[in-house]
Order: sequence, then C-alpha cells, then structure tokens
Amino acid sequence: MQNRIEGVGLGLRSCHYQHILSHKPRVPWFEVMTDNYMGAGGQPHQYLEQIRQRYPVTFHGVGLSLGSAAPLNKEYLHRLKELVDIYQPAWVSEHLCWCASDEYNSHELLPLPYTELCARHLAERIDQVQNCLGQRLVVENLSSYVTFAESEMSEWEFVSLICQLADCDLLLDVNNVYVSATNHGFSAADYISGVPAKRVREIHLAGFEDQGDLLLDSHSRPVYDAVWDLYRQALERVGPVPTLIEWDNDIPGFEVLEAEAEKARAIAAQTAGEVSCAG
Amino acid sequence: MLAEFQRQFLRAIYDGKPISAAQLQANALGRSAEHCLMAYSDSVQATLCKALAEIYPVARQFVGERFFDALAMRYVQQHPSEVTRLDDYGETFSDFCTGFEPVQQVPHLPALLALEWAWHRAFHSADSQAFDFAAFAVAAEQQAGRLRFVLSDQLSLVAAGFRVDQLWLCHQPQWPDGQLPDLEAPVQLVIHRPGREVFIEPVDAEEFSMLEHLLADPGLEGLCDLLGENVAVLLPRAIEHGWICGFELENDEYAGTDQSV
Repeated sequence: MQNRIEGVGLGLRSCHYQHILSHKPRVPWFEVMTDNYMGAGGQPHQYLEQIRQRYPVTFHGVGLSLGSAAPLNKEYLHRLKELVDIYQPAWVSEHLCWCASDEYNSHELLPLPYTELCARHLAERIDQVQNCLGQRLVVENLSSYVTFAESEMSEWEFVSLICQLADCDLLLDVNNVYVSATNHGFSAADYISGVPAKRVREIHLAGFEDQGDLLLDSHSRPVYDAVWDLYRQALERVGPVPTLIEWDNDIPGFEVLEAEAEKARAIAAQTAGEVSCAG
Repeated sequence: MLAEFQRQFLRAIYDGKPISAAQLQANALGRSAEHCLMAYSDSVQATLCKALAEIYPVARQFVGERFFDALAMRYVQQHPSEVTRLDDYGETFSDFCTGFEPVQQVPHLPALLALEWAWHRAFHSADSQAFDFAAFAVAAEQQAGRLRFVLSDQLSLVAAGFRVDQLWLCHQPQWPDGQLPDLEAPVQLVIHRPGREVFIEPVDAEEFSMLEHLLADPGLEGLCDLLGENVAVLLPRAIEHGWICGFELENDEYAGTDQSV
C-alpha cells in the first residue's frame, strides 16, 4: 500500500465515496476520520478498503479525549490500533482536547486551561497512546471559544510544551489558530512564530463561521483570505509540509474541495519559490 | 480537580447548571463567558440532533423535518450522551417517543424508529462469517447436548401492529410514484445484513418465535423442544438466510469458556 504523504490532501467523506471510486481523482492522499470506521464492518469499511488500495491515507480522530481526567478509553484505543494495523496510515493524529467526563460525552473538542499540570496530563496520555500504537502521535491545536482565568501560558507555549514532554509531532491547524486568535485577542503571527517548526508534520485548512462576537470552527465554508495569508506565513516558517483541506458540514461537490486544494498548492508552490530565491 | 471541573463543564453544557464564573472570562470580541460557553452547548446539541437525523432519515421524512428536529432536540436535552461513538447515540429514541405526548398524533412513529435503529445497527455490525456445515454435521451427531447456535451480530427483530416495513419502503427512491403503501396488517420482521445490503424481511410467526427463542436460549436441544418436527425445516432456513451464522460447543468442564467452531 502506498504511504507517501505530500502535497495537498482532502478529508475523505462518505458522500464522495462513489465519485472517488468512479472518477479516481488525482488527489495525492486522503485523511480518514477514524471515528467513522470504529464500527465492526459494513459498507464504510468496504469503501475504505477500495480507496486505500489506490491512495495513501492518514488517520485523524476526534474521540480519544486525550485531555479527560477519566481514564483513557482502552476499548476505543484498541479498536484504533486494529484499524491502524488494517489500513496502515502514514500517521495518526488527534486533538489536544477533552470530550468526555466520567458522566457524559460531549462529542465536542473541548479546551483545557493552559497550565503546566494540564500539559503534563496530556503528555502522559499521549505517551500511553504512542506506546499502544507503536508510533509517534500527531497532535492538533484546537479552536476554542472560552478563555480560562487560570491559564499560565500562551496557547502556543502550551502546545510546544506538550510536544516536547510527549515527544510527539504537531498538526498545525491554521484556521484554528486564526479562530482562537480572534476570539481570545492574541496575535496569530506570534502563534505561528512560537510553535516548534521541526515538529509540524501537517497543516489543516478549513472555513469558519463569523457570528460577530465569536468565530466558530464550523468547517462549513471555503478557507477565508485571512487564513490563506496565515497559511503562507506558516509555510515560510515550517517549510513545505503536507496540507489538508477539511470540510465537514454543508459538504459541497468534490470539485469545490479540489479547487480549494488547488489554491493551497499554488500558495505552497509560490512560497517554496520565494524561500528558494531568498535562500 | 480536573475531573470535577470537567464534570461541571459538561453539566453546564447539557443541563445549563452554573459553572464557577471565576474559571471563565469574556472573549476578546466582547462576548460574555456564559455566552461563550453556550457556543459549546449549541454545538453539542446540533451534533447530537444531526446524528439522530442521520440514523433516522425515514422517520424524519415521515413526520417532516420541523417536527423531527424539535423531537430530536427534546430528546437530546433529556438524554445527554453517555456513549463513546456518535453511531451508538439514540438507541432509546423510539422508547422516548412512545411516551411523549405530541407523538400520539403520529402513532406509527415509534415502530418506524425501532426499525431504523435495527437497520442502522445491521449496517455497522461485523460482516457475517460463512456457516461451517461439515463441522456442524459432526457436532450435531456427536455432541448435540452441548451445541449452541451463534446468531448474526447484525440480526434484530421488530414486531409492529401495522406494516412498518411498507412504511419504510415507501420512503425509498425505488418506490413507485403515487402508489400508496398498504399498512393494514401486523408484521414481524427480521433485520440483518447477509452481505453488503441490509435486508428487512417479513417472517411468519413460527420463524419469529424461533429467533426470539434463540436470542434468549441458543441451545439446540431447547430449540428442538420448541419446534418439534418443524426444526428440520426451520433450522436449515435460518442458516440459509444467515440469521444463524455459527455454533459453539458449551464446555461442561470449564463453565463459561466456549469453544467456537
């Protein structure tokens, strides 16, 4: 199975299965939402098997709840390991968040206060996951809507500390940086400058929803111009890392996603050219 | 401390219970901490309502989007998710609707929801394994008393006082335009997925009773007692349809450990 991840990939969504299998679009790789394949069998796996035969894939999860105080869900983790063994993704990514308490599950990516205690808690659990999967985990920065009074450091310092403690890689979601920077009033450029560049293995791009007094990470629109600008800055800092276009709500036709990927490719090519000339 | 904070946070999201205001601050765009928290409540409710809409598409079509979405919202508000996977959320939606007064106007809805849950379960379940007839013949001859059947993981039974399968079918794209479904008869259904497609099959009372019995007591001897001579007809049919997908030998010496075949 091919596993070379480079260029601009797309998130695999069930509404595009038929298009992908019948048109075999020239997409360099797909990101698979692992939570959609936690079921034991059936059509989702039949489609994924066929797509995996043709395309490299990465795994992306939303349900590990790395930041929960409740113990890691071993059943979920073991199923993830089974899926990794079956489909052999180039890497597995998850969010620096929590989803569930010992009572309820929110199915939402919830933030933690940026404290050393929380960073250590996350790092310990990332370590457990890495030990189970036998590979480095790639962790993604969140977009967040609440500000914690007890935070002791900036978000990028928090993310950097976790990556260092757990020796894991970073999935830099540029849209999330923009959304959180706007909601919390920090500089997105400072964030990009502050993350550990060598650990950035992948970049995410998506569209947000502007509610006036809050930006929501809705994944329901094209990437905003301000986020494209930030993407350019990120590439200048971290170099030509693989990039993914995410779209999860009001999902458009496949050609719309391909057009967004083309924009990202053009910016990456332009940035690489400029960096090369400058070098 | 983190555990208590997370418990409080989710109770605030689901139940609107107050969270220590000192922990949260207003955002940079002037939205209060309480309103920022509400963004999460709204998002969680929207996620769970969307999950229900995806699991119960026919019911949503049947009662209309507005009615269904209002019903789903009420269910979500009263039933915080306790499952890991969104696919597992909403199993009790049919029961909830049975006891919910506004649903009395659409009495067919609870059975339709039960049918869709069974369909959804079959869709995501493990693929069936082929039944090993040769091993079964040997075991049935030599160790019939220890033989217990394994029913397909995907199999569910639904009984209704009307043709709920016809109601489901008439919302599918292949249903002829303008044709009205005939709902005027009770029905007993088996829902399972022998291959790629989920099947909703009406069965007769004897087949339904056999499967109900096997779900409670999968032993061969009990089945023979129930069916008498009819076991020779009904058992092969159950295996042929893939309702029974295997068997095990109950281990008399090591109770609780079964030898799967």
